[in-house]
Amino acid sequence: MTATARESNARFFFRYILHHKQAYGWGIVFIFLTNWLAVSIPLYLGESIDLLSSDALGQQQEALMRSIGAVVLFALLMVVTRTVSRVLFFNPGRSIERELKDDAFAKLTRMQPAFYREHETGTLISIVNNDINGVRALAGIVMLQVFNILFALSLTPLKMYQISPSLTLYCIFPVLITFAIAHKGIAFMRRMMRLRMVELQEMSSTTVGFLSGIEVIKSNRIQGWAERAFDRENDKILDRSLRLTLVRTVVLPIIAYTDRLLKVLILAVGGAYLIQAQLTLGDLTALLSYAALLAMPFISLGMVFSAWQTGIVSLESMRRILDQPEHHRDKVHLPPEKREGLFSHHLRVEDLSYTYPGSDTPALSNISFEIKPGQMVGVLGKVGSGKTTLVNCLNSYLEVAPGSIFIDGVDITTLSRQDLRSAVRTITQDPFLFSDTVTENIQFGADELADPLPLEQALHQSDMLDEVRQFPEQESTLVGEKGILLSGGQKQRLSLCRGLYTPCKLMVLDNVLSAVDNETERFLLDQIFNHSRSVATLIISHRATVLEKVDTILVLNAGRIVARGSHAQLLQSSEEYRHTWRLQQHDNGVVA
Amino acid sequence: MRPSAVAEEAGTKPTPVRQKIHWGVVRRFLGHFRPYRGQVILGLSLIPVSVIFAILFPWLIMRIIDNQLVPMQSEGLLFWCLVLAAVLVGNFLADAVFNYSLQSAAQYAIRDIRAEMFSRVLHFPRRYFDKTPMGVTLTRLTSDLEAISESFTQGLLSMIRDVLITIALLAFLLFINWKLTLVLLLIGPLIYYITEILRRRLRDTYLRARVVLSQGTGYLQECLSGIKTVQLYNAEAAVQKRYATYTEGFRKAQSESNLYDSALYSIIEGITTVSMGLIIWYGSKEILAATISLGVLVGFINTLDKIFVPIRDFTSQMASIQRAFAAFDHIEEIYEEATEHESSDRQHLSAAERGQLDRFQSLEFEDVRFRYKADGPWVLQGVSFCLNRGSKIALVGSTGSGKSTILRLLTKTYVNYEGSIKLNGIELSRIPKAEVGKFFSLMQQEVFLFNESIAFNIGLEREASNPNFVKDAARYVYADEFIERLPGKYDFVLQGNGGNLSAGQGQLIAFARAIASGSEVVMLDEATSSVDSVTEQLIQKAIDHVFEDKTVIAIAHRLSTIQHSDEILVLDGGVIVERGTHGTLMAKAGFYANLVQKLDSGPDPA
Repeated sequence: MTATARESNARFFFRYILHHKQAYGWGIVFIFLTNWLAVSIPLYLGESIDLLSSDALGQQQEALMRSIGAVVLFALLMVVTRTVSRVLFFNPGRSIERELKDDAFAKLTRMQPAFYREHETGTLISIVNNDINGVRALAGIVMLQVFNILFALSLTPLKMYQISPSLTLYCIFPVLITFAIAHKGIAFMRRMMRLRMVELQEMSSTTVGFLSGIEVIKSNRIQGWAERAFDRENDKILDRSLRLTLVRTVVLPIIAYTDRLLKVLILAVGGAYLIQAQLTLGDLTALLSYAALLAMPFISLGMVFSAWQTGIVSLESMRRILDQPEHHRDKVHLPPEKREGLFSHHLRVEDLSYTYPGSDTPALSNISFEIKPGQMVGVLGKVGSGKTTLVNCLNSYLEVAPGSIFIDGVDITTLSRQDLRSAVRTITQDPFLFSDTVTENIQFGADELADPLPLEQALHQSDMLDEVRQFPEQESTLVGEKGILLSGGQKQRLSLCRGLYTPCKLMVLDNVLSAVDNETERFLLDQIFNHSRSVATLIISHRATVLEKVDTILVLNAGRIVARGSHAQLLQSSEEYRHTWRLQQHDNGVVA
Repeated sequence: MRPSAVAEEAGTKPTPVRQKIHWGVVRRFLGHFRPYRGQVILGLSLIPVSVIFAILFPWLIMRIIDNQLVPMQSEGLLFWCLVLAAVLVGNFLADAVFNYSLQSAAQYAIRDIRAEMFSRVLHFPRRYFDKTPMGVTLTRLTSDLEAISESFTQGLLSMIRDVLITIALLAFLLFINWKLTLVLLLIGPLIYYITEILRRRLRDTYLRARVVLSQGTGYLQECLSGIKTVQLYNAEAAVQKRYATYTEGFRKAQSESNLYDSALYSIIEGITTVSMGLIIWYGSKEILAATISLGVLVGFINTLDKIFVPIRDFTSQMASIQRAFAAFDHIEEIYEEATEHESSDRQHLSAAERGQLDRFQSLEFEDVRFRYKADGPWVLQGVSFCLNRGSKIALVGSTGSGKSTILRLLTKTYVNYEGSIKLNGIELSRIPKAEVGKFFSLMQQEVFLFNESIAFNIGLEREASNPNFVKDAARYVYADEFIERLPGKYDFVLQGNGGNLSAGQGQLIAFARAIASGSEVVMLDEATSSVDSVTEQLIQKAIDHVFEDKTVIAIAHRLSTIQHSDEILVLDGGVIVERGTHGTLMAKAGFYANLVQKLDSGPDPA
């Protein structure tokens, strides 16, 4: 986000405003009508008071009725114009809120891991949920009030000036003074509100952290610690709120007293004029009504300023998401037929090295291998050997250097991630399930994919059918947040089911059987090896037994391929492989 | 598998709207003001002052018009105008003190409520978290309380005072001229009727909007937590579509409320002006009959807005009050949910029984049956076994056989079992969860790490927390080696649930944490599953330590672990189908032997 390239807040905001220019346009017309009616009414009020105070009241009943009739008619018209104008401004405000939320969400779905390392989930949620309110106010009430104030502040003084120019000038001074005081107060308030919003976001993040780890907190009985940490954030918010309250209750009400202050002034000065016969009582009454009309925009102005400031702060906050640059590679997509044809020859890794940002030791060094349609390749390695890093490079979850991975000869860094992932499907070892039905979770992301399995068969292939049958509502059973009520093994199998549901090209299984028991593992491996509808499979595991049947095994150690070959070849050639395999055989084979 | 009733219901059909205010909820809320009653009393005592000033103002205006302006009497005009100004200043000061003392008290109370709610959430049983997405709980603690706080700052309290002022002003006007006031009073019911209709609709839409908002937040939170899954499955467009249904639902509900809100605001304003016309029309007759003065008439017109403004503000404040009440209803969910404190402290243990719980002696399951949901399938159907101090039990069986459930019952994660579970001879349901927790530590396959230092994540600030104790625990599980290599070693701060460590390292930390708890009984739940074989060896050695001096109940997948156990319980479909040592069970050539055979006959070393 460089200063030069960055769109100004105003431009950014008006881009959204322009989507609704018609509503706003009519809104402006109606807000003008409302203001015009509002300044006309006191004139008729004054006229009727003059008629009342005249000695010939009895003869002027008809004129009096006309004035009163005008007041009532204008008042009724104003009800309509005011309602319409408010709706015309508020509804686009709500629509813009929606558009911004959708845009922010869309952006978030495309953000890469680096972004999520820098931004905590709680903070992001708070931005989308809380900061949006400020922007919505900006697009709704602030827009309305800007025009309302504009018209009120031009029409009211004009009418007052027509009655008494000097009294109008007298009235301007106190209005300006109270406005200056209030402006200072609002500037302070704005600063406090911005800080408060940040503090609220921090508290959200802390809370999300604690709620995610609720079981650990409870089982270790450190609720006290969590409460103290929470209280610290809570107290910070209280402190901020108190300062805000002070300004709100002592400084800002000065604005609300402006109209009564004006009335005192009008009575004193206007009273003197009246006694000198420069004004009539009707004029004075009209002026008293104008006092309220003149003060009101200033009351609103205070509100508008604070809403404006909050809105800008919120907008800045929203833009932390919305302005995130997207990788240029993701903007260009392959035509459908090319996308379909991906992985018709091979996926080749050439001398791939990867070092995590901020680390000085490479996680992967000089990895080269190839996988062709129809092949099954296994990767064996212990914890920290770089297995998952390799997977994340293949699916571009991590950004690799150009010239390291090719699909059908095309460098994957030139493909959009979406295209690449249409060919490379990853089933991770830490599956994520939504708080939704079993069916929805299995069909996740498969909306546009062809040829799904019958749900039952997919469940059978992942050894979930019997268990799902036991669920209270079978496939329509909701699984808890992150599938909390499912065991780790069930989650892995459901995630495997998700992977098997539609055919795919290269299926990458990242240690997905780590939490299932041996019997289930055997069944699932059979399904993967013999009944999978993937064109090729890359299976990653830390257990040699899982990989015995694949065509080629790559043995990964400290980010390097230390041996490769079939199970039989490796038993001959690799000391490490033999060692690992023996250890695990020992595990399974004590009985024999 | 307990479906989230709230989410499901709200998703398909509109939630039935609660028409009446729940006074119990409000009363509890007001209870939180008790510690700040000094401020509250100060604030309330200023209300009469405010009211008197509010009446003096129009009275002085009438006086000035009738005594100075109409008779063209310039003498005394300045004096009375100064008095009027003084009244204004007094009114301002009284209002400021009133508002600050009450609003700050409200801020304190909200702080206390938030702390109290969070503390309750921390003590909720697992069931609550099963059925409530995290985003919903977060909304309760943040947005809902914000709505209440906003409602206070936007003048909920001044509104109460304004209503009193309206009544006082009406009384004053009645006193001055009752006929003219009656004209005003005729309009009263009309305003009331319009407000009532619109207010009810407003409340409807606000409640609906909040439900949709909360669902949207929950979904957003889930998508962000599962962002990797979303992206790897190319499901960006699909989740965007789904999220848009929530934002659109929210927009629709809010747009509807915009109409009611705007109409309410404008209608009241219109009525104010129409009444001015009516007063002049009626006043003209009275003036002809010389029963009222012009000053009174102008005074009436100028006071009108002071009577109707509170009603108008009332309607504009209505929005935030609606939100506050909707928020009250939501917050109530947190208060309605029973915490584990309450459910377990009901039966107190006698002193003798507490003595019995000094150290672990035995655990006895007798015909234990359990299901997660009242009408769900039985997960345990009559399980009996006994774990004595120092012995080791292995639970074996396929996934879903009920192994994990047994551990969940032991940690009191779930409580409504049938049959009997006795800890040192005392029924488990009678022992407070905290007490039970001292005996057991869980080594789980699911790891959660705080965004704090490694030392904290292992020691968790428990009483014995000191660096050596933490290091000992790390050494115990052979985690010290990699920790020493990290920048800052034990002070290395973890991020994103240990995202800056490898999965195996994270597991070792969690393992060390379990050791550090110093519990006498270790519950092992597939803790060795996703650790590679070399690390597995290390952990195996650590488990050997554990097996030497602790009591163990393990969900085991590795034969070596199973073999170390004194007794093996083979579970299938919630029933113990076989039990015994490895030797006797193999000899039996039954279910277990079959299971082991399958383990053994794995892929042939070709």
